Amino acid sequence: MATLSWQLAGSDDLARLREHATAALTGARASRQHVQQVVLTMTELATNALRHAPGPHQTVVVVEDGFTLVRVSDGGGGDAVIAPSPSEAGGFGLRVVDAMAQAWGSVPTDSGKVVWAVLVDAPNEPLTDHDDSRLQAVLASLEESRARMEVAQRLTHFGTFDLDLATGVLEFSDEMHRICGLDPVLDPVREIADVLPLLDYDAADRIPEIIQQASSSLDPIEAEFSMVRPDGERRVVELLIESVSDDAGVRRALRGTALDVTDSHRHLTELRAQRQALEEAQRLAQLGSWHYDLRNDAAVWSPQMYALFGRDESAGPMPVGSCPASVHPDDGGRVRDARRQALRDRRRFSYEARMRRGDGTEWLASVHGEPILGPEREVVAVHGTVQDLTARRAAELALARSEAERAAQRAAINALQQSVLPPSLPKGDAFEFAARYEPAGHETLFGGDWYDAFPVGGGRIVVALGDVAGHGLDAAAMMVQLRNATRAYTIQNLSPAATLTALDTLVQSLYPNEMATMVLAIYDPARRTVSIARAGHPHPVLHSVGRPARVLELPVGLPIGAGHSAALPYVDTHLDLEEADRLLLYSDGCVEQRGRTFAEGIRDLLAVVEASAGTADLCDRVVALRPAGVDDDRCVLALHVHR
Amino acid sequence: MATELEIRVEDGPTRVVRLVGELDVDSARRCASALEQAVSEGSTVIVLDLTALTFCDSSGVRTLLSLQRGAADAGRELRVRGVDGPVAEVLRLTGVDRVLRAADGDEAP
Repeated sequence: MATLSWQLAGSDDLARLREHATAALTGARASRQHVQQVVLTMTELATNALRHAPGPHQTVVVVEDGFTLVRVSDGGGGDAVIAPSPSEAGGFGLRVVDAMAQAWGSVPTDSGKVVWAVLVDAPNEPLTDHDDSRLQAVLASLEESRARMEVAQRLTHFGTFDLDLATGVLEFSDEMHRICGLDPVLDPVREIADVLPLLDYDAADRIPEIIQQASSSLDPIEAEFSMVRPDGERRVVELLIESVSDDAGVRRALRGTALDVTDSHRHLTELRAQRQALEEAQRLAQLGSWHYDLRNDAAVWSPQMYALFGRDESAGPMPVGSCPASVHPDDGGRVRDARRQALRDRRRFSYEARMRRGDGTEWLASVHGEPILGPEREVVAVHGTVQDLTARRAAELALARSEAERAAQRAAINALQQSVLPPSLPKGDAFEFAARYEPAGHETLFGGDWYDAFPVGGGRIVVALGDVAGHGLDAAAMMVQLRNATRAYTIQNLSPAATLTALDTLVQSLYPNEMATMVLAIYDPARRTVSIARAGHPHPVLHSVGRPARVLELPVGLPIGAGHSAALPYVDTHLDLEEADRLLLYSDGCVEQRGRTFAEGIRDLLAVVEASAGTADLCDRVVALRPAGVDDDRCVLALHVHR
Repeated sequence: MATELEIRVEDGPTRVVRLVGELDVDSARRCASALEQAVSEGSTVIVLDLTALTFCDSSGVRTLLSLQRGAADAGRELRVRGVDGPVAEVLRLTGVDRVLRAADGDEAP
């Protein structure tokens, strides 16, 4: 599986295109005839675009197992039609394509048109249903990716940009303009110079280096910029930049995404400060200890004592009776009281007193001591500890503050989580929904489970339940974006499998290191049917009246973001529901428990489903399957078909 | 990287024009005048040898048609040989295989 993409500057690029396509197809073990046909089709379509339409001319070749899609876009309108009678003047090109391609067509776009053709390797064997669904998925994702990305960008607030390395032309998406506080119509960005006024001097200085890095790196590089919008607001933007090359090491352009991370940046800074306060508190917990033997006037100090009193170790401990000299005059009484307590009453003592070092600095000491009694109950020695409270007081304050910050952050994430969950579930005469979400115990900031149910066109209802892998702010943000993108895609009438495919692409481009699992269903109350697909998530459970509850085995689908939707496409399963059926979606937190196998967890779940009535009771029982305070979220959503 | 096409003219009793490389819109445009010249001189019958032509698209087909007419205009006859593989396929798909005359006397090259 490979996708090749070229921007065509002119017809002298054609030979290079053919060379790369031949290499890719041969690498994918395509037959020789298939390679020849693809190369010829590509040349014909690209030649047509170059001859008849303004640019930009882009050629994309998607090599799949068993077939290849060639797609050429240009900036011209109209339609591609076969000339009635070919001659020396032309008209052969599309005739050749028509003869070789399994299917071809021309689609208008916002900026021109796309002419595409699908060529099947071993064309004597017709496409199977499986091939056809893969083909549909490839076509759908390519033809609609632009429009979808626009919607997704708006919903998820990430911008994209393209920098042509040859011409220096910089293109910003609308959202990218918004991130920079610019109006895409009034202040369109056309070159780097247009954004320089927003950047600090040192940030502007880094640009050539970043371009150099991105151009020479095989992997996308990350960069962070701080900028000031025209309205004066400072924002931090995180860029992910990759180079677009033609496989021959010739880097043509840089392409990137940008996320406004100002808010999460602030959270990170706070977290760092908090950690420093803790380390400081630990360091300062060190105590000084002392021992005074009254029988021979001997004194012993621990090393920390010298540091506390600002005294040189070679000078030895202060002699008995001289300590008060270092006590703040106002606190001298406390020291005398303590001494009396120890020597006369032979009791333990403790006091706090301000101390002065030789260099004049003041500190707050907490002193604990006790007398050591001899055989006659006489005091023979006094020993104890001294602790500098100056810093601890500060650390205690810092800790209290950071605890408050942590609580505030947890509250923010909880609020985020709650904002993702729908405030109410769809209602109707024919059905009933219920859902529960139980966050994980206090050790985890963010569990990652979410669900959603909302109506789309034709009275149908989209039902989603998913689990995001990470636990931090990134994971929380990704969950919000997944939920929003799911709404955006399904509202465009994409099937569950097609939506999962689109989400896979989205997550790969936004969060290359993250993954998420999900079950997505579209329920049609009027027809009493459900289409359902899954991405790495536990199978749903179906319970029909009078029959045992059963696991609804859905075809394999890898987690979203694994990037394998092209190789192993998501598959829709269509199901007729019966009256009084109950369908249950749940997260793995409901069935996984330390010390029990997953199969045992499922058995417990099925038993609870059968023992429950309706949806609310069912959901309550499922989340109660496991003890409170567990280390994973539990999320469950139930559909009850009334009629 | 421009499309590479080399034109080798061998004059004997019959002029043989060999095309070595790829024939597409790019190489056809650059080599048009050299090609026209190659088939407008020499013997009455000119053989166009396509054995070493590794790629030919519909622009190439148009060029071949144009060469045939150019040769006829110059009072010569163009015959084609060495048509094989992908070049044969594109000639067949365009129907031009029925128009070009084969050097060995067959109607279809």
